[in-house]
Amino acid sequence: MSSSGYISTALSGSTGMSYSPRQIPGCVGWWTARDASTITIATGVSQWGDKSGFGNHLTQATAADQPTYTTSVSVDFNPANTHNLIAPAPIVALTTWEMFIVATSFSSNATWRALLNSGATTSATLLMLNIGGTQYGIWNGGFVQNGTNTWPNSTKKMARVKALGTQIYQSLDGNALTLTGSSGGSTGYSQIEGVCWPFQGFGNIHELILFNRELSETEADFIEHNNRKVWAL
Amino acid sequence: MGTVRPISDTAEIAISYEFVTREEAIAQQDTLWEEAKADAIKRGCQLDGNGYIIGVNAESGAPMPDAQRTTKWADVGSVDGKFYVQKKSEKTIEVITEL
Repeated sequence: MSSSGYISTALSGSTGMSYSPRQIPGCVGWWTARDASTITIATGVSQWGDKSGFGNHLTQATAADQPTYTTSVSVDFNPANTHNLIAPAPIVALTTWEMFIVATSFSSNATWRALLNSGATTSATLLMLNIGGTQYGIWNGGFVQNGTNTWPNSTKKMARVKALGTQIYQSLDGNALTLTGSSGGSTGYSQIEGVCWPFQGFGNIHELILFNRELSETEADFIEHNNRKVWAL
Repeated sequence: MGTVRPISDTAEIAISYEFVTREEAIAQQDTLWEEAKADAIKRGCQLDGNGYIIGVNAESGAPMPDAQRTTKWADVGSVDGKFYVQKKSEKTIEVITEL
């Protein structure tokens, strides 16, 4: 069966079935706060289990850096600490990928906030999804802002990020992807090291879905349609 | 006990205890780690042979021996000749979104 045939069958067959991004080939990471059974608690969240079947769990061995958990709603990153979760090596190694993010931003400070990295400083990260004020954009060595998209505080949003080497695309709320370019970046800047939300911003992550390839728009629509339903977006 | 202040201009969100000597910082770090272990045990966690925390499942409360273990409180940081240990987390916001 061709790839497109498989996808068509999977998507049409999803009607009436329990939604799973695993219906689309290439899903190598699926972390959802809705499923409390995937969360391991020590001081905070020491592991956010991957539901893709690939075992790509996000982890944190340092007690002070563990985010908190709001049951069935979100993993919460508090900037009063350096909360972050580390991505495993197979995720870090990806250079072509797409990620769908459902998150809520909180901040009283119109400064940088980061969502995809593993440290509290820009120098520690390879890819950040930044939000300065209410503007949303991509850091790939130099911040590339998408001025048409805004992400106000206390607002739950759905973001999509696609990396094809150093070419980074982004969108919010299911809108068309925008190429943010590769200026100032290098191949390293397309890597995902982990998840956090530092820089004077609060952030709660509800769900992350990661694919190890470029999706068709039909496939992306399937994910975003279900994200809207699941998270009432 | 040290004072509370931002650790640096580039990591201003990390609120830490400040110390003059590394030894003082390490002592505070050890104290916080022991408190973290005691708190974890209260919520049902166990310690392994190395004293690391074995986490519990957020849904069932069952021990998760195959999941990531918690091995330390935090590293001692150093900025401008002073030493820092990260404070305990205090959840300062609540989720306002509903499913």
